[in-house]
Amino acid sequence: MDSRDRALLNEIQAHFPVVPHPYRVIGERIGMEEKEVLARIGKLKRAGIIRRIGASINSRRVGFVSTLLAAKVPREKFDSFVSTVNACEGVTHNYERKHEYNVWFTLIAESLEEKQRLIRDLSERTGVDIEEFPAEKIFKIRVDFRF
Amino acid sequence: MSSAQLDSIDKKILLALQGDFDESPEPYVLIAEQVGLSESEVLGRIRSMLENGVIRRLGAMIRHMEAGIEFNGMVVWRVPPERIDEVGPLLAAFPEVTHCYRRPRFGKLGGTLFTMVHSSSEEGCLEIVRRMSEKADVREYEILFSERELKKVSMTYFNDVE
Repeated sequence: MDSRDRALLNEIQAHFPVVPHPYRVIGERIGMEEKEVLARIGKLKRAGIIRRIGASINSRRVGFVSTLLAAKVPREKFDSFVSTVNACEGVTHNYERKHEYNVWFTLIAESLEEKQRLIRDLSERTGVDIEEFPAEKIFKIRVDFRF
Repeated sequence: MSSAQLDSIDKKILLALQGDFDESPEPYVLIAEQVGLSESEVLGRIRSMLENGVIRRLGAMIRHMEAGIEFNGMVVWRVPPERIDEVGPLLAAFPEVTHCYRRPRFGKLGGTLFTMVHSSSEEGCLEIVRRMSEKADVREYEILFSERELKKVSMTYFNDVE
């Protein structure tokens, strides 16, 4: 990545223009032709740095519920636990962490009942207790990164 | 937070926006064709959904692990209940912090404020957390460093809309 890639990444993670020629507008903000913006985005996608360009939807505002879950997974159950959990469509993020609670994942479900059912089901199928740490108050969600 | 009212066209637009814009210089034209509206109507609906918070963010989703920001620390802060509303915004103000929430008590310290801190190294995370601790005057915390990313995808909503 060169400095122009970084300038572009800083510009396109939020406030993507809602206009007919968004890449032209982005280019105007950082002194780049529309063509160069598109070419660099294509390159960053192929390099795996840009996953996609589109919308991040606020699950709560569309009636879904989300939560954070954690488990102390013994080594011998680790792989099967992770594959069972990851196969669940509503699990969007999953991290192994250096802690007694070594697996932390997020779950999005259509309703509270569905969320409870999914957690119970994952716990029963894996034989691992799963603890829930739902957000009680949100001070910040802003997943854009400075480069 | 209550749910927003969305009609089937809004849901179709949201479904399209959950995918990836192709390399066309006019990405909204394709969406307009998919939902059977004019481009300007689609732009108007997207703007409304940004304003009412249905769309949290429109733009590029980054694989930060590939982009050199390889480490994240989930930091659990033990904050006295009466200081939560003061400390939350102080920790949230750090640019390296992407998430800051109050959650149920966790760990031996019984922490309740959770922040996610990103950096290119564990030392970098530690340095940021030290500054956060000083700024907020909260000395008791626990950092859970990421060992491995096991899954990261975007949720798909409304893939069953007629």
